[in-house]
Amino acid sequence: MARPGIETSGCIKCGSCMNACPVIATEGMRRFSGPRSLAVEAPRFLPDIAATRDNIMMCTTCWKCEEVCPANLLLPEAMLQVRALIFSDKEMLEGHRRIAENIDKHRRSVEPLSAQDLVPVKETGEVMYFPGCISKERITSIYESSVSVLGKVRADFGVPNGWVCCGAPLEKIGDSERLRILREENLAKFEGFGEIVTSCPGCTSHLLVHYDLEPLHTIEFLYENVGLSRLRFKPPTRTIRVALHRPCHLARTIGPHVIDYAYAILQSVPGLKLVEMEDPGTCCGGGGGVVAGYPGVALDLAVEKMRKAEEAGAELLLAPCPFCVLNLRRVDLLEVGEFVTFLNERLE
Amino acid sequence: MGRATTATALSTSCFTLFRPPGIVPGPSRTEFGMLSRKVIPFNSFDDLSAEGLKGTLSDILSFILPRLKSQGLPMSGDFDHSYSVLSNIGTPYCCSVSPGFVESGRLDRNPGGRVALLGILGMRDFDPDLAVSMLESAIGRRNVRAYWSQIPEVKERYDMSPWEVAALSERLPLEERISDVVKELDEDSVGVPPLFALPQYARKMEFLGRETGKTVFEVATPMSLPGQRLQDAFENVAAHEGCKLLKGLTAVEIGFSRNHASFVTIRSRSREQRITFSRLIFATGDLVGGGLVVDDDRAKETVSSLQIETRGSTGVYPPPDPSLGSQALREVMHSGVKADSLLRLSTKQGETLDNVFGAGSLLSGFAFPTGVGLGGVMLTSWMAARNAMEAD
Repeated sequence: MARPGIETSGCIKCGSCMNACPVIATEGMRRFSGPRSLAVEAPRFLPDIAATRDNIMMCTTCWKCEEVCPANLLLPEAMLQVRALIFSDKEMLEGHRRIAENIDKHRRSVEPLSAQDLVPVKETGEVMYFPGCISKERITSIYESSVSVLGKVRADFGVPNGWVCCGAPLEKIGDSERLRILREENLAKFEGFGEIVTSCPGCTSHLLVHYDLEPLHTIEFLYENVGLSRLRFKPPTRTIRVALHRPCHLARTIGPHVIDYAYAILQSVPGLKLVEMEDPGTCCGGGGGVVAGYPGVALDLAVEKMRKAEEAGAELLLAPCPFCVLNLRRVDLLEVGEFVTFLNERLE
Repeated sequence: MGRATTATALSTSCFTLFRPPGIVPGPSRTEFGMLSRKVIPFNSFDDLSAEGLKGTLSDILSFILPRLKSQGLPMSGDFDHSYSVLSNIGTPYCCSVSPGFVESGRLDRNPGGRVALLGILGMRDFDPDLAVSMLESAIGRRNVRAYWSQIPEVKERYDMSPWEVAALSERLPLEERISDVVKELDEDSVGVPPLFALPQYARKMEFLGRETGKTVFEVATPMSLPGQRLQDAFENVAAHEGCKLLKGLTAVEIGFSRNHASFVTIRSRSREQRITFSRLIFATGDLVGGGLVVDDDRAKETVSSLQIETRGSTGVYPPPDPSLGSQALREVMHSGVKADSLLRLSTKQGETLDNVFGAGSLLSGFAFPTGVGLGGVMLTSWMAARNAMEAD
């Protein structure tokens, strides 16, 4: 067993990561022992490290611990390295085993919908649209809305024929080998495109870090490449109070500028009243493979998030991330919408 | 705001503005000299004496304290002398300004009166048995008694930090349950650990006092809720006063022409972004709140364009014990970003930037582990904000 390569010896044991961890806040330390214990201390006891398996899979990889760490430690990366270290095909959580099986069978992280009648899209273009598994196979309105919005802004785009899952869910469960194979398959199919646009912050981040590409999340593409002045909206039928959820992988791993862009776009939508909920950047539980591995933990976090949106007086909680939308919609408190789908309904 | 947790968040919420004789040199002839000697224990305080400080400590307090109060954090105390409050491990903590409910547990008040310390099973950071034992051995106080109470949601979770309990208190009426327990105690003065998050803090602590008819005070708990609460208040004040808070980001470069800066480049995990500004205040930093990171065995500011300096060897504080920590840590503890008397920061080329300021622990001599306290944080924040407002 190799020792994880992320350097964590600079930990000053201040406890900031534990204080900031949303899973500890929701589940308590008895259930989830937290970033310091799992990413810093566990790797020092390599013979026993596999004993952390159940515990470490509760981390939603929200990157909050890294944000608050005074010693600048790359804690989420260290956490993912521990997951990769202890990964075993034979000892996966049930939900994670299903992800691996879906990848083997369908090249998607989720089982594809049986009958799909989605809008046809060409396979070539200046811009490559990479939909991601959830948009294509679960919340297809994201896929169709993204295609529609890219058409409305007159982008020359296509979806690569035979694209497969980017591998982000496999990284989260520690399955490095399947991840490597998917990367090779995808890269061969990405040739011929210029710009890359994605619907999912997880895909964006993964293509950037693991494929060494320069993808843009749809919000970045609309703000930077299209421009606010080219987004023309229909007159409103009524005013709606909207809260914006800040997905962890969008705000913390891609960058907080995307959230600024999202607010700027929303402010230009007529008939929309933005309301600010408490802790809009707190994890909703949708990431890190937790929805599949520990659906109860993911649900606890989603309930907390929805409660705060409701308290802020929102009628609609918008999330620019398919995984967040999927998880938040498990809570029946108020309507949850996906960002680009919401825009598409209002764009001329 | 810097990328990491700040020194403020790691600290207790008590300001030490007065320092006992012997730690710092005696007062100079000017009021500002006295002030700076009291609150800025580093060796360039003479630079700050006239030009940098254009007010009195009263001005600072009258500017900052009402603003903190408006965010739900009432502070009390007197900058002319210090007093001791009770820390979570039973040792006296010396400060001159603190949250009102910490200050109400001052050890010099009612020394003969009976005091109860109430712990909560499953909540870490406060063990009343330990505190009572320490109070007996440290200051010979024997009229303090330890109690434990049970709150099922806390006991069940096990090892909850005050921060987590504060989050829980937003959902549960903890104040009502604690109030029921406190009413049962014989003592008139009851110390409790930090329980409530900032927005409800004052209201719920007042509720405890009103419902029980007793003096309910809070023990000062380092590295947990009080410092977080104070930092939250500072951030809310800054946002309320019209600042754009850039929080949790790594600033990597400042773009400047001659002595005027126009943008800062910030880096997330995978992207860089330029943010333009008219005036910029760096309010915190990275390692141990010192504004610096360790690069091999040297201290380094994450903003590559800024100049840093080391003040440990000739400063007011004695040189660090060579056996204490690593060379890198000692270096970091005594290094910081170089600032002039107006707290304007300097580029690596030695140019003083007229619209970039520093405040708090990223300035050299203000690193948290050297025991500087929050007085200097408060003073330099006020100075930086005022000078930024006055900058053209």
